[in-house]
Amino acid sequence: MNDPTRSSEIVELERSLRAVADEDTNQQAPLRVHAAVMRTWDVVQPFAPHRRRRLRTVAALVAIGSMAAALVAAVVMSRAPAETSRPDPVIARTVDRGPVVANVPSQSRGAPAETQRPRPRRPRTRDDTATSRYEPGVVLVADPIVDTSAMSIVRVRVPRTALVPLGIPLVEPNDGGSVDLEILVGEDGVARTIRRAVPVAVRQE
Amino acid sequence: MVTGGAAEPADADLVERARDGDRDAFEAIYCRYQAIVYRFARSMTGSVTLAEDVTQEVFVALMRDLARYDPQRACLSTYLYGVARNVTRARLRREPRSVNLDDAFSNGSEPSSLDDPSAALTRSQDLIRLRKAIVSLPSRYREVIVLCALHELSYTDAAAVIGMPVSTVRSRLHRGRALLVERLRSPQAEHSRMVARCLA
Repeated sequence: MNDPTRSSEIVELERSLRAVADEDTNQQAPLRVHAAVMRTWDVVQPFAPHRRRRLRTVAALVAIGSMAAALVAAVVMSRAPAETSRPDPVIARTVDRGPVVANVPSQSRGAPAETQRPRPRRPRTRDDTATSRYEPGVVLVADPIVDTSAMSIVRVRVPRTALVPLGIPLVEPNDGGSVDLEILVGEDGVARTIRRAVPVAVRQE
Repeated sequence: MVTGGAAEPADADLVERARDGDRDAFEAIYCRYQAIVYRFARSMTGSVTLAEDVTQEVFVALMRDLARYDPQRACLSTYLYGVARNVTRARLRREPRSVNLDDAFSNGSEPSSLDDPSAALTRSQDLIRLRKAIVSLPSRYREVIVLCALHELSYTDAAAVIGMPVSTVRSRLHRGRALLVERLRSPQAEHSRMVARCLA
């Protein structure tokens, strides 16, 4: 360390380092970097922390609202079966089996009034007024279908026991036979509901 | 290090406003500190292109982490040096072969004295050699040389930037200078030196 040559070299190095520092004093990042950074700011800004906090608050409020709505819906749904426990499948008398669109006001179509009368959500009384010209059948009522303009009816014949997996309770589940179903199918090809079920044997009588 | 005076807002104020989404405040921070970040990155990488990328990354990282920056722990310049150091190291790890010494040091090394062009040219070439020697140093020595010798940070500030004790900064600076001296010796000078040692 006492080498005078080395000491002079260190001094010279310090001088050179200062010269380099002086040269660099005025160096600045190009303007394109500035522009790029500020462009990024403009993009990132919507997600800036303060806005994230705001978004988080809004999301929390929405989540709380959704949970409250779900809770209310759950309470309502849990009460509904107690008040109106679903009895046997509703047997109704229908006038005819022509293509009828459900939930359409009777005045708008030419079908008989019995068929097109707006039905209560859960009709569960036997139609005692049925006459002998009516065939016994099952009329199933689902949630109201808002848009019936593009509905079509598909008739299929299925074994009677096939109704059980569809959630339709049977009075005598062990009985055989077939059932003609009228299924409301939406424009997208998805079945919306079973409009009517008519036991084949009864109908053939 | 600029902390603000009567005319200019303090760093903490700018950071606070930028946190609240004030674009002008962030732009003021950029304008205040882009030069030191760019110079640091350029000295560390020896590449203009890399230095530009690093500068951009540093300020993008700042806008991302504004909420985490605590003015009580470190001043903004120290914080930015630290981010620049990390980004630079990461970039050099990723692209160690992309450093182009010539493009970095061709601009600022023109002869500046018209009185003695040959001396100025020699001086300029010496500075280019010095810059190249700095870039060729191991990064742990290079960063303390850049911070303390080129950017004139105190040992304490440099220690804060690299996250090491002041004593480590001192020792690395000492060792870095020694390495630079060795690398800057011309072959003739080295030969004379060896001859003198043998004769002694």
